[in-house]
Amino acid sequence: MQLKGFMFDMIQNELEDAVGRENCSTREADKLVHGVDYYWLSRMWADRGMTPPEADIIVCPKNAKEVSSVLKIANYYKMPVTTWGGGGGTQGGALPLAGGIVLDTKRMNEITEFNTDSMYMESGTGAIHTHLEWYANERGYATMHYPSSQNCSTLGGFLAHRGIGVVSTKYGKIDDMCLSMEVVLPNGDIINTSPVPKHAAGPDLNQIFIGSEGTLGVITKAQMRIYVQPELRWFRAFLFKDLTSAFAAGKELLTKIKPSCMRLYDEAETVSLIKKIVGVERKGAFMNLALEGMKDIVAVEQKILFDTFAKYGAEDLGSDYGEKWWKEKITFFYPGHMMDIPQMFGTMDSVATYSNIEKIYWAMKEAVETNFPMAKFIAHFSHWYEWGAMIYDRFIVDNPPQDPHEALRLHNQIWYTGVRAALANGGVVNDHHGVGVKLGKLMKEQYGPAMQVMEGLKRQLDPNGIMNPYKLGL
Amino acid sequence: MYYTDSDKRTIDNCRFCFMCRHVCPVGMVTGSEANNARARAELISLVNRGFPYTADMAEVVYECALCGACTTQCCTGFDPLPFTKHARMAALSEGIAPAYINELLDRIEENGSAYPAVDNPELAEELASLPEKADVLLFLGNAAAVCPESAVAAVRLLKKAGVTFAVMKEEPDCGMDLADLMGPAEEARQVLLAAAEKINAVGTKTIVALSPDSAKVFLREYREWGAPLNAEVKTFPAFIVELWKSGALNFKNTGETVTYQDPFRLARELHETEAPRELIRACGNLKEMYRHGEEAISCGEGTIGLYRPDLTAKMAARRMKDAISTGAMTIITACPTSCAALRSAEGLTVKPLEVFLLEHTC
Ligand SMILES: Cc1cc2nc3c(=O)[nH]c(=O)nc-3n(C[C@H](O)[C@H](O)[C@H](O)COP(=O)(O)OP(=O)(O)OC[C@H]3O[C@@H](n4cnc5c(N)ncnc54)[C@H](O)[C@@H]3O)c2cc1C
Ligand code: SF4
Ligand code: SF4
Repeated sequence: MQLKGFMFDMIQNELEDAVGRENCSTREADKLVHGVDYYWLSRMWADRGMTPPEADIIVCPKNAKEVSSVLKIANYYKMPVTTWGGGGGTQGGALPLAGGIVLDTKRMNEITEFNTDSMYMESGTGAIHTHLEWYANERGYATMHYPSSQNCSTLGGFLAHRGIGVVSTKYGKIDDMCLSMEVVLPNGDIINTSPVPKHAAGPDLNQIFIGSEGTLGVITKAQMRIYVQPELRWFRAFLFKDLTSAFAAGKELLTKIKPSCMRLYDEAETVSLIKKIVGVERKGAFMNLALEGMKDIVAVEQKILFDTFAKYGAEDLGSDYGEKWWKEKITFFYPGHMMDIPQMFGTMDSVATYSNIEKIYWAMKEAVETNFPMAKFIAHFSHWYEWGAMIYDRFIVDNPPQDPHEALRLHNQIWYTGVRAALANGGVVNDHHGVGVKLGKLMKEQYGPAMQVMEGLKRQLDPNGIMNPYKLGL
Repeated sequence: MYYTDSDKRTIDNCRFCFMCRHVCPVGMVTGSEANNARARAELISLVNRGFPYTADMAEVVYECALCGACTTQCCTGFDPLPFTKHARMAALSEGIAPAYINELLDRIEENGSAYPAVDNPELAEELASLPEKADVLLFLGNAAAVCPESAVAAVRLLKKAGVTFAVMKEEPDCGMDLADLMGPAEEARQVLLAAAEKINAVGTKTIVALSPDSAKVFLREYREWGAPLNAEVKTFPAFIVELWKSGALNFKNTGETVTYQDPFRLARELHETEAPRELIRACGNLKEMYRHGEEAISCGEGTIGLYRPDLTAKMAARRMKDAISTGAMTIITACPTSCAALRSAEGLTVKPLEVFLLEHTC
C-alpha cells in the first residue's frame, strides 16, 4: 500500500498527538542513525556507503499508554513497527527493514521502585543497563547482570534477546532475573504478566515475551531482581591439558558449588592468553573462574575447588589474571581492543548439554575452517549450568570482499554453515544474542513443527503482522 | 567536509561503537539515538562516503554539549569533540547550520559577546575602587552577566584576603562560546587574538579566571591557536585555596550539608575537582552526588544553554534530582552557567561557590 498526497502527514500528526511533537522525528539524521545497529551487515553496509534501512518516522514514547496509542495507530494503518532499544543487538533485530515506524524506547527509562524488602527494582525498559547498575550500587546492591554491552543496551533489549552477563553461572540469565513485566500487545492492550514468576497459574507469560524480540509486543516495564553485594569476589585461573579434562572438572565442580563466573578457552585462545600471563606459549585449556559471596562460605568453596580441579591435573595460575580481567572486562569491547570493520566477524554462540558441547565445538570449528579457509575460528565457554554449557565461538575474516553484496553472501554462508553444525549436534540457533534477521531462516530448522507454537502466538497477537517484520523467523 | 587524520581515526572507531552513550547528558534527557558520539560519527562517516551533509545532520552536531563525558570514559582514549567542532565549522561554511546558531553568532558579532551588557550597581560599586593594573587580574568572564552575585562575592573575597588585583574596565569576551560554536575557524581565532592582545596589555602576572569557561579557553585554545597570554592562568577555586592555605583567608565550618556540581570544563577539561571540594569541606559538610568529579553528569552548562535552552532545562532538571537525593538543602556550583541552569530547575537552593565561601569567612 502506498500513501498518497497528505496521508503520511495525517499519520505523522496522529503519532505526534500520541507522543508529543518533539518526540516524533522524520529527520533524515534520525533515520540514518536508526539504520545502523551492532549487526555486522548493517555496519558493513554503511561502511560501503550504501543507504541504511530507513524508517519513515521515529517515535519515542514515554510510557505504556503512549506505546499503546502508537500501536493502535500502526495497526489501523498496517504500518510496520520496529522496537529499538540501544541498537546494541548483533542480529539486526532493531533494524527497520520494512520501513514504517521505529519505536525507540529510551525515554521509558524511569526507575519506579527499588524494593529491598522483596529484592527487586522496577524500571522502564528503555533504561540503559549501566544506569540500573549504578542506581543499585548507590544503594549498596547490584543487578548481577554484567553483559559486555551494559553501557550500550537497554533492559528491554536484554529481555527481548534473552541476554546474559559474565556472572550468570551463579545468578542466571536475564530471564532468571525477571519477576514481572508490563507489555503492550500489538493491538494496544496493556497487560501485566503475573505478580511473581513461580506459580502454577498456567504457563509463565514472562517467558513468552522474553526472547520475542519485539515481534509480539513492546515490553515497557519490568521488575528485576537485585542482589546484595558479595563480601568477597575471588578469582582463580587454571590450565588444563585439554578441553575434555577441563569440561570434566567443570561439570563435577558444578555438582558441588556454583562459581559466579566461569570461562574456559579453547587451545587457540589459550595460547595467547597464557603467553600474557606466564610469558611463554603453552598449549592446553585455560579456565578463569570466580567464587563469591560471604567470606566464610567462599573459603569452604575454595577448598572444594582446589580438591576437585587437582583430580583433573589442573595447574593453578593464581588470582592476578582474574582480578585484572574483572577490571577490564568491558575494555575488551571498545574499539581498538575489539574486532571491527574492515574485518568480517561473528559470534555464533550456542548452548548444549555436556554430552554435546565439545562435539559442537569440534563440528563448528571443522565446518568453518574447512569450508572457509580464510576464516579464523576461536572459542570459549563462558556460561555453565549443571547440565551443560554455552559455547561463545567466533569467526574472523581479515580481508572480506569489498563488494557489499559479495561480503553479505560470504557472511551469511559462514553463519549458516556454523550454526547448522551446532544444530546437527544438539545445539540451538543461539545462546544469548538472539535471532533477529540474521538467523530467522534457521529457526524452522531448529524447531521443525514446534515452530507453529510461535507462529500461532504471532498470528493471534499480531494478525496484521506489524511487529518487527522479518525477525525471529516469524 | 574538512577533517584531520586524527578525526578520521576517531570517526572510524566511534561510528559503530555504542559504549559511551550511557554518559551522554543530552542522550539521557532526550532519549534520542542521535544524541551520542557514535551517532554523530556515523553521520559524518556517511557524509564522507558521499551522503549529503544536511541541515538536520548539522542540527545533531549542535545537539552536543561538548561536555567531554564520552571522552573521559572512552577506554581506548578516543575524543569525539574535535571532529564535532570540525563538523560545526563545516556546517557554517556550507550554510547549513541551524538558524539559531547563525542568530547567536550575529549577536556575538554585534555585541562582542553572547551575553547582555552588565548592569549591576552592586558589582559596579565593588569594581569602582579597583586599580587599572595589578599583578593579579581577576577575569570575570560570563560571571558578570550570568551570575553577578558570584562576581560580587569573588571581588569581596579577594579584597578580604588583601589581594591587590585589577578587573578590566572593558573586559573582552574570552571567546569560549565562539570556539564551541565555530570550532577552530579563522574568525574565532581572530577574536581570541584580539582578546589576548587586550588582556596582555594589562601587563599582569597572574590571571584568575572566575568562570571555568574562560579558564578553559585561556589554557587550551589560546595556546593551541597561537594567541598566548603573557601571564599564568589560575582558576578561581585554585587561587582561593592558595590564599586560604597561606592564611590570607579563613573559613568557619558551620556543618551545613551541601552538595557540589562539578562543571565539566573545570572537572574534565582542567582536571580540577579537589580545589572546590577542599574549600567546601572547610565550610560545611559535603555530600557527594551520584556521578561526581570527572564523571559528573552535566547540568546543561556551557554554550549549549545559549542556543538550546530547552535541552539545558532538561539536563538541569535531571541533575537536580541527583542533587535532591543526596539529602542536602543546597547545591554549590563553581560556574556561572551551571548556577543559572540549575536555578531553572525546581529543587534545592543553588549557591555559587564564591557566595558560599564569603558567607563562611571569618
Ligand atoms: C559491545 C557489545 C557486547 C555485547 N555483549 C553481550 C553480552 O555480554 N551479553 C549479551 O547478552 N549480549 C551482548 N551483546 C548484544 C546486545 O547487547 C544484546 O543483544 C542486547 O540485548 C541488545 O539490547 P539493545 O537495547 O541494544 O537492543 P536493540 O539492538 O535495540 O534491539 C534488540 C532487539 O530487541 C527488541 N527490543 C528492544 N527493546 C524492546 C522492548 N522494550 N520490547 C520488545 N522488544 C524490544 C528489538 O526490536 C530488537 O529485536 C553485546 C553487544 C555489544 C554491542
Ligand atoms: S569515544 Fe570511545 S566509547 Fe565513545 S563512541 Fe568513540 S570509541 Fe566508542
Ligand atoms: S561531549 Fe557530552 S554531550 Fe557531547 S556526545 Fe559526548 S557525552 Fe554527549
